[in-house]
Amino acid sequence: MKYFTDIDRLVSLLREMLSGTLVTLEVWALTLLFALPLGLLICQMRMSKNGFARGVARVYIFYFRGSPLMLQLLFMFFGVPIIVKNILSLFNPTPPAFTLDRTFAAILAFILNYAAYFAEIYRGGIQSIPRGQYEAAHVLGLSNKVTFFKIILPQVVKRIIPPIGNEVITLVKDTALVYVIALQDMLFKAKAAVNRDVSVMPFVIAAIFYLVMTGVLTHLLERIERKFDYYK
Amino acid sequence: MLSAVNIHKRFGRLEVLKGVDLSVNKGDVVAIIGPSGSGKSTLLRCINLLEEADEGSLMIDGEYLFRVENGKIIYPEPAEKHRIRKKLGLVFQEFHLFPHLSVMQNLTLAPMQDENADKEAIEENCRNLLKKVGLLDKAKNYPFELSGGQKQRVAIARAMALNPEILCFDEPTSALDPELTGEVLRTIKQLAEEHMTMIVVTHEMGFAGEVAKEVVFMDDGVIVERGTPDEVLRNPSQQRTRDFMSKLLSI
Repeated sequence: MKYFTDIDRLVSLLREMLSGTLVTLEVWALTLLFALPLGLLICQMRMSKNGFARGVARVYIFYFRGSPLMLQLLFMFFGVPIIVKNILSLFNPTPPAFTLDRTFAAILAFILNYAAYFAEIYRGGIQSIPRGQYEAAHVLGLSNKVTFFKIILPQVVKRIIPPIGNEVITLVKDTALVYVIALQDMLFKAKAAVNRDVSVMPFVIAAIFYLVMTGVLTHLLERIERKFDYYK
Repeated sequence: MLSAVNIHKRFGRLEVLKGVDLSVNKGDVVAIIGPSGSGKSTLLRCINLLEEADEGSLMIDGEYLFRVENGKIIYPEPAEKHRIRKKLGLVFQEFHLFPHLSVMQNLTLAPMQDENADKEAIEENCRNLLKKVGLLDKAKNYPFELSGGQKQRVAIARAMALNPEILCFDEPTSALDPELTGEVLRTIKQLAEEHMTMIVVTHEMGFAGEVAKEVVFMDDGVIVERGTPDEVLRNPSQQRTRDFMSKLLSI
């Protein structure tokens, strides 16, 4: 109850948690910024005529979708530097120290992981467009480029908004996993405050913060979906 | 106008077309009839390059659209191929309108791709086409707001928007409820009256008899019989044609 009687304390807790929220939002935003286009590239490889590119994309998706995100975070932050060090030591008996920045490692792991999911969502979207659309475009003499950008892509976008939206919201919550590499996101700060103050209040605030973020996103996604409601 | 010679098409080990010849004169309507799986649609798809023929050749207006030599299909260079191909239009059984585009945009999209396109002339032309198929009031609607018959009429107008010299129809009424086939057939008939050259794959024998100059009966990948509607539909000379006709009549 002490947060209600001591306003200064509440303010300092909120301030602390807001600084954690910035970390959460940073991981969230940068992951989306890079994973959405990277997913497109992987999707292209996955659907390519080139067997090698297809193979690489399959293995990529298999690994990043098939193993725990937490493991991928740990591997990125603790494992990759060890590997780099071992490789460097092949050329240099006293290799320089090599570490990854926590935030960078976390965001990179998230990007690689989410790109795998986005790639599969894109692929599902593209493959769900009926063959007849391509055939109609073909007999109308439309070039491949026009067919893709004016016929296929707009329909794919409408179809993938719901699954992409799912991932965008899941990502907000998944960011909490960064605690395993001691990155101080919002939940990390809440937990620290709970331990320090022996109060459950920080958890409640954390829940509210997450709900506000996902609530805003839900609303935005609904609006975007409505924009595409003009056709079926 | 169109002359297809010795078209063969195999899907794996199944030979769907076993050497089909088809020629269509300017202004004629040719109806292709026959049981399912006889290769009618495949022939139309080969002519429209939706499938690659394994043997044979196709000439449009005296120019090769493709010919097969030593098992390899040969097209003219891309720009030429594109130019010749555009003389053909195809209307599908399932319409395949673009759902995200309005009726008007469905019509204008393809003609607008031409870099020298006169935007206003195209829109004017497309409006006239919509008027002709009786759907000018639906210009701003989206395909999902139309009935099947209306969709198919839009699809016909869309094909016409490119001013094809030959319009092909792949069972244009087979996906429609019976009460909607009339409006589509009337539209096609109207085009026939304007001497549009057309190849119509159809199961509508009455329509074929009324509109077609020539009826072609296909079965098992070959043309069994061809002639005027009177000859093929009413007095077939081949047993297979007679069997097909009597099956239709006995239903």
